[in-house]
Amino acid sequence: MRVNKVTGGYPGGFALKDISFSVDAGKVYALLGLNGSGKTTIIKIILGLLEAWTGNIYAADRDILVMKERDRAKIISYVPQYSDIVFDISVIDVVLMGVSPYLKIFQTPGRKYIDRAYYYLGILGIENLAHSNYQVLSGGQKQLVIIARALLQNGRYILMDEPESSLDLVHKNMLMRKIRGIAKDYKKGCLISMHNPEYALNFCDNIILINDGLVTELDLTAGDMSVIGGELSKIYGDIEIVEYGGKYFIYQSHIDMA
Amino acid sequence: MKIKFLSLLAVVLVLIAGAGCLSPPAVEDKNIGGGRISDIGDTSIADGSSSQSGQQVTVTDHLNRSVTINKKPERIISSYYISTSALIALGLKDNLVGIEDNAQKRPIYSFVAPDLLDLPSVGTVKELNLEGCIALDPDLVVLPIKLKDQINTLGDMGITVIGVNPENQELLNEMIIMIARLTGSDRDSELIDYCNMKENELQGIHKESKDKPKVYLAGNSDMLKTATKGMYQNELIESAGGVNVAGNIDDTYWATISYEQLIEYNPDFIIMASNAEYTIEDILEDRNLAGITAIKNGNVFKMPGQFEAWDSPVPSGVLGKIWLANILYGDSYSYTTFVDNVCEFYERFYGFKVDTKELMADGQP
Amino acid sequence: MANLKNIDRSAANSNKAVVISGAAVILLFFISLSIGKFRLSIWDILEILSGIHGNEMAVKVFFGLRLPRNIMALMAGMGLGVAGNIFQSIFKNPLASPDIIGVTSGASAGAAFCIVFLSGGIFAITFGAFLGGIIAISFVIGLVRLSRTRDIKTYVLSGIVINAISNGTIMTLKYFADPEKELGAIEFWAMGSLGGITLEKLSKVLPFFCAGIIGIYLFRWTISILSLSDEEAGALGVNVGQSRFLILLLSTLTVASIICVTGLISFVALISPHVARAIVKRNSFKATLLSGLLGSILMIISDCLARSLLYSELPVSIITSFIGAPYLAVLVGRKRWSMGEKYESQ
Repeated sequence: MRVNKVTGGYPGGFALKDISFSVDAGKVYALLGLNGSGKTTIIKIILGLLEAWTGNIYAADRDILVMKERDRAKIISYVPQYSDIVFDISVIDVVLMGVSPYLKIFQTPGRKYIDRAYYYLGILGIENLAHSNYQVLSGGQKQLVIIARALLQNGRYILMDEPESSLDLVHKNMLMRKIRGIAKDYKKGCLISMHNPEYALNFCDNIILINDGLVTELDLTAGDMSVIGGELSKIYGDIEIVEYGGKYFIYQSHIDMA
Repeated sequence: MKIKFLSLLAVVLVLIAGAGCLSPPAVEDKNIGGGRISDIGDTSIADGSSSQSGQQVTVTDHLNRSVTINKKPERIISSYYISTSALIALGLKDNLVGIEDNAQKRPIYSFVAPDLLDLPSVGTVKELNLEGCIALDPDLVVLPIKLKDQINTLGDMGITVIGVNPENQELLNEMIIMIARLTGSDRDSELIDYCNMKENELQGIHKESKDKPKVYLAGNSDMLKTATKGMYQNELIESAGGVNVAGNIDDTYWATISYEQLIEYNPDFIIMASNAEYTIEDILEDRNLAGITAIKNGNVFKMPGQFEAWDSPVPSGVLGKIWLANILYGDSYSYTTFVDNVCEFYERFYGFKVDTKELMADGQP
Repeated sequence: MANLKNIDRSAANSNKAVVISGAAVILLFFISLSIGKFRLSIWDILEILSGIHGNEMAVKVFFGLRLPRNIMALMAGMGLGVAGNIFQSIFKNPLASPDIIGVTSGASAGAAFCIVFLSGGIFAITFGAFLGGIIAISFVIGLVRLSRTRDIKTYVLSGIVINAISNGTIMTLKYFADPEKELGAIEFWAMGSLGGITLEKLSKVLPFFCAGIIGIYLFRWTISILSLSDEEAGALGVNVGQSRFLILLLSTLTVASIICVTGLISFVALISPHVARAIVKRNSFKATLLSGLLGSILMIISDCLARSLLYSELPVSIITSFIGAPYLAVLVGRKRWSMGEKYESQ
């Protein structure tokens, strides 16, 4: 997926100008930036929920900005921060909603899709929850259910808006590992907005850094950690990246409140 | 869950069974089989003296519907107090099988025949129980024209039904004649002639009067509601020789006015409707009205309501006119004359004796 | 498949509940056919149905009044129950039933308007009710957008405002209407009654009702997607604005087709979905179906009481209110449903 010189945002409000970056299938991308830098705006523009005024976004060789939402939904799946469901509903029904873009008008999902929904729940290790009430699940379980839905939606790209933000440490790590596994096993391009650069360093292949409307693309697999640390310091203040036991940790040496 | 659900179902069934048992026994006892219809046939043959028997009568009701009846009706329903009263005046009280709701609020029924109150009530001016009506197996149903929908439905079901609109003296007379024709009663002309005669008598009293008293008629729910030009109450005041102060309001329904307007009217007499929900004292002691002639002179009266609401177009409405004439022209038209007229009217048309002493006592200020 | 071990209890339960309620509706429908002022025993009805009943009037009453009235009770309960659940799902609020948010009173004002100014035609009244409902709905959507919350307060507030406007309209109409003719019609109609249902009225609103219900059935999948947030539904390939409008249109048509002949019926649309969800425990299409069936049960019982408690007709809303109002109080009092904060934060 190539985001190409996109300008867009809220009518009369916050907007991003001339943004470009790429997301490749099979890789995990961390979308980093401070609050208000436009992480959510980018995701919403790609999803077609906010209008892009200029530019284009090519995915699967087509400009998804001019597509109908049905067709776009076959290419791009979405995992929100948390799914806003008010009434009691079975986990399996939540997952099944993922087939919506493939249903004809007035159609409901058949056996084929139901089997596939169970399959994805199995992949994520929550098959036993299929008939539980989504409302009573823990935050981490809910996220896995929504990821199963995104998998059933079968988009080549999955956009996630701070999926780990409401989870505890154990579940954050568990979730990020599963997301990474999925990206690799199913060749999905995952774009994950997040706050903590540590998770980006440890679980992602690339970082897309937004600062003052400027996008910097960092390749973690090839890049030099000191260069990356320098780039991150531009927005997070003076930080140092420490490697210990194959993991990266970020140490903030000086906080510049300005 | 299962138990909860089954118990819900059980409650449901009990309620339904209960509803079934609650139907009034009067209806349960009734047999609508073919036998009853032939019974009625026999009765009307036995009653062969009636000229209507076997003859068709067609009338046009107040909805401009053409209604035909083939035989003298034996079972009559009326869901409007004015038509019920007219049916009694026409000597048909024994034919009534269903009357309006809240009949106990109309004292006339207890005077005429207390068992009228035991008749099933079929509805109000606004709503009718269609099935209940049909279940009474009526030969004639008399309904106010507000129930237009229900009138048409009953008509379509093959029930003989007329819509009546007794809103003024003329329409009332039309209704009386209409019912009399359909039922073969010959008392309509006697009743109407009597009322016309009394009307003329009243004309004689105030014909010469140059300065007719100004009358304000205060409504049932509120003293600031008053009768307008198009209403029966306007006729009532004029027949009794008064001038309706609100007669310039061109409407056919109660109008609400302000205190200022009432003071501007400055009526000589304030007459309260017979079912007024406030008292004479309420008006006399209302400081806002203190300067009005009627109040200064203590000329605030309430239309008697111990028999019927004489301020509405009931067949006995002429008594209300007579009562008001006595209030306005007490010198030339005595209270005793009024009492005599009440006694005469009810004895002649409704068949009961009026307690003269009680009525006389009411007249003493 | 491994998950077969994991027996789907809720699905089995909801199937059972739907079957039992369906059976109860059929049973109650047949029992209620024999309840009414005109005495018709089950035996009479069987004779009428097989065409051998000797009393012509009994046959007329059965086909002209009793049967249409019972069908209307069944339809009204079904339509209000289904529409209630859909409104609650789409507005994502358990109290957002058409009567609470004011759609019903908007529709009644629209119908009253047509009773007075177009005097009477049932098509005109249906259309007026439909239009009134749509205006009310647009108002609710506007208010929710303006206040940016889906808090209960917003819906109750919009209900208060629309009720006030509707009452104002009805009072104005009463004031200017010819008091001798239309007034009575409007007043009784505002309290709701199935007493005036005839075959003719039923056959005129039936097409509208069926169009609404069939449309809702066809869109059942989209309705479930619309219970998600707008962003999620959009990302799942649904044109949120368009489909939501279409579905609200269908639901309003269903409600309008009912209340234009019955008048206002309160609480059925509110409590049926709640009871249905409490039984099914999942807000699936089965819950919508069950809500419709429970609505039918409630309406059939209420109407049987309305026509047999006294000799004259009782407004059916008096009975549904006596059942519904305490239930509403319990709902509002219960913590789970007064969860304004959670939604306010968004």
